[in-house]
Amino acid sequence: MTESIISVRDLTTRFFTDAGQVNAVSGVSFDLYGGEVLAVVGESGSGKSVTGRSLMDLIEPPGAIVDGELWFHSPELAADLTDHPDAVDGDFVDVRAVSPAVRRSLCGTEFGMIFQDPGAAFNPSLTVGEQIAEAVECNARLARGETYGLSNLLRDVLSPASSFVSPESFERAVDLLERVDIPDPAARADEYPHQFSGGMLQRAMIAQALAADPTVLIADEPTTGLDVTIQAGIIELLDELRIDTGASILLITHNLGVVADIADRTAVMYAGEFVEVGPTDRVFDHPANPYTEGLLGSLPTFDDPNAPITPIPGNVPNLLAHEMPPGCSFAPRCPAATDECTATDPELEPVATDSSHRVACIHADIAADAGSSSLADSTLRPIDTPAPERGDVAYE
Amino acid sequence: MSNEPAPVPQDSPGRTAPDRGPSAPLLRVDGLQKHYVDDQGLADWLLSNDPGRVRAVDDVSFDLYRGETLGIVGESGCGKSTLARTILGLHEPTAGRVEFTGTDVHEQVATDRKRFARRAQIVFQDPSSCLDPRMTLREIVREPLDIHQVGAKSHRNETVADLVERVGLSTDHLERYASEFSGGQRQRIGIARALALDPELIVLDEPTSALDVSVQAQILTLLADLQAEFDLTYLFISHDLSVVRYLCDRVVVMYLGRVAELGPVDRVFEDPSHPYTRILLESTPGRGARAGDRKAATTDIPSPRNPPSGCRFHTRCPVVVPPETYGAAFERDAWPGILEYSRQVRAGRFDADALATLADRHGVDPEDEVALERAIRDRCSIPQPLTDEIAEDLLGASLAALVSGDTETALAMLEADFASPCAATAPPFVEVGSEHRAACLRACEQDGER
Repeated sequence: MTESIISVRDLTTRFFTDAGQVNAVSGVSFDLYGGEVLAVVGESGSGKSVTGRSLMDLIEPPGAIVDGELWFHSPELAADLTDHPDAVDGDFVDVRAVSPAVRRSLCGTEFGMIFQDPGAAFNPSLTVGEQIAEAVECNARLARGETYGLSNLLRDVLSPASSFVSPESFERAVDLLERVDIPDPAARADEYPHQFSGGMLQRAMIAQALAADPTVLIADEPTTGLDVTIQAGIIELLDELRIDTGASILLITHNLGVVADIADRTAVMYAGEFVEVGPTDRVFDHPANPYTEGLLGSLPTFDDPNAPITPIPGNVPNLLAHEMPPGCSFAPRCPAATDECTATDPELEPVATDSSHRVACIHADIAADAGSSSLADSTLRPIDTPAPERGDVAYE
Repeated sequence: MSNEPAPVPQDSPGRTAPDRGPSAPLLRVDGLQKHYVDDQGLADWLLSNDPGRVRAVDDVSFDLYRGETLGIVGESGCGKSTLARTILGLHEPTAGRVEFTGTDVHEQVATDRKRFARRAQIVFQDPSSCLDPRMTLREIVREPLDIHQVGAKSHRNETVADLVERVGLSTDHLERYASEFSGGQRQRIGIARALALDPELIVLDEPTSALDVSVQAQILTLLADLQAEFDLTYLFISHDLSVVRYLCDRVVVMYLGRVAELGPVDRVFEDPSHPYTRILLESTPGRGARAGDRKAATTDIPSPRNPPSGCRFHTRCPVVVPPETYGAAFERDAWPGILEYSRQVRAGRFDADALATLADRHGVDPEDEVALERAIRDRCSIPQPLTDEIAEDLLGASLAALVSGDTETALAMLEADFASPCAATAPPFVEVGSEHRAACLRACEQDGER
């Protein structure tokens, strides 16, 4: 297995609404490895999208990331930040601990985001080319170390018609549109979002996310609302990009078929927590958590039409802190629940047969020597072990 | 929540075709057309221009038998929903007939809409937009009973309570508003409302596409149970082939307003005769094909406003029939490349800019026409030279026109010299198996051989 690019530890995102505190993401930990596709699946309201948006630092009031570390593999940045020992561990930088300006310089450049529903994510009054070029331009200016100062503000106020986008950036936008297989990209760049079909707009959205050659792509429901034929094309494109650019993809989706087609590993999310993580074929063929089993059992199997489907009873809990069931959140809907389940909240632990496959269920067949901390698992980089001191390195 | 039914493993519903007996079909759709015609502006009227028309449903025919579930699948914009609404008399057809138990639906609707509404109902796609937010669960389900004055008022409340329990909701929630229910529960309300008048036919317009898989499974098993209990006939519209395979007995595959293939679900999905059905099946995710192994149909769907001539699918079809003048060797070696070439020319992928990029990528001089032609042949995998000499000359002329910058002539030459019968003739709907029909020239060929 290659090195991890991102190590998320105990990510906790909450929303403080009038109805009460919503625990959208509750202590999620995972690693994203270089060049892999990690799928996060779950029902609506399970916290998938909030997890993705938390990584991009896109949580707005009344929501907030209240806890967690987001270690990003970036030797260059780590070398720059030697005066912030708390935020650096070896080649990893804790994106949550650095200054907002540094964090801002990562989102959009190192982390690209493909938003859900491109029809709503694009500005209807700007051409598609302009919007992609804007992303290119922002990145280029960031790379040159420019910030938005008083002179920029004055220029924009005094001559609002002058374009922010340079011709070079626009050219690059056209190249990006070509990269995502949009026919006649030069002409399409001058069109407005409403002139694009749903599938084409999703491709344009991917082009925008690619503007700065990101190392991590976060794709939030990239195929939802598209026809199967168009969906297949988008999945194909994502897979191609992963191979060509070596980017890692965090694929957030509720479509288990899409996951089976493209994901290397799958994380199943329920009520703000990861309940099972592992290689996709292990999770699909030998689900260890009853919830995963339930999800798979609800799906009509195309190639075996006589197989019965078994719905999971009930609904996803609404994540309000005071309405969450005690112990395991799935216990009220779980066919295998016992009294013990409502007493303890299970943690992710390696499955006995395969340590790369982890599950949060007290009834699962857990490896005996799992130890107390699930993070001690060999597949996870132990963040809590101190990084070697400079003095420890032997020089000859 | 407590008001959902316990999970009961369901046997797959009615896999065997229902007993049709000698009886006539419940619903017969015959040559149905529904075109939406644009408003004609004054200028158009003066110039007597024809107003534009969207051919949403164009000559669709099928029968629906009592007790069966007929699926209608296709991409968005293929006319599935328009078809459903026209069948229910919600839209006036442009041409053709819909017969329900032998009498014309649109005559029935014109004389007594309420009478017809008691026999045929619909469940809509989006459960959050089809329920009145100011009405309670009781009012929503009782409304059809009130409008049709079914029984005494006290009796209606009993009926409502029965229905609500039957679809798996709790009678404790009768006074709640629609917004207080989850998506799956709202869809149950929509189903209860459709059942209220004890109809014979229920049209289900993508009833689970807005739902999560676990809730979708709850609704699918509920629909299967209700069908058995109330002897219902379903017309099930969906774009999810797995769901159609699970619930339906027969399926209609629609493409741009026309029926591409029709037959028993198992036969259509296991041995598809129409290349469009094959593409839909291959695109269905989670069937073991990893991304990268699959050849996706990337082409945009043409608009029903200006549908392609001949077979409507020929612009995306991977197995277009070659022109008759050339032999079998031509079809095998040269035809796929020429097809790819003509599609790219048509899509404007060989304009001046694109040619410059192509030359750059192949490291040839953009002025060197011979090298550029070779690069184009390379990109479209056209063998050099073609074994058929006449074809080689014709193709060479088109390529020469293209590299000299005259895309229109190049395309015109292609269309004249390499015209496929698929672009010229609309394929007839032929029998490809028992009760299994498809509209494809390839299927006709097989039919002829047999």
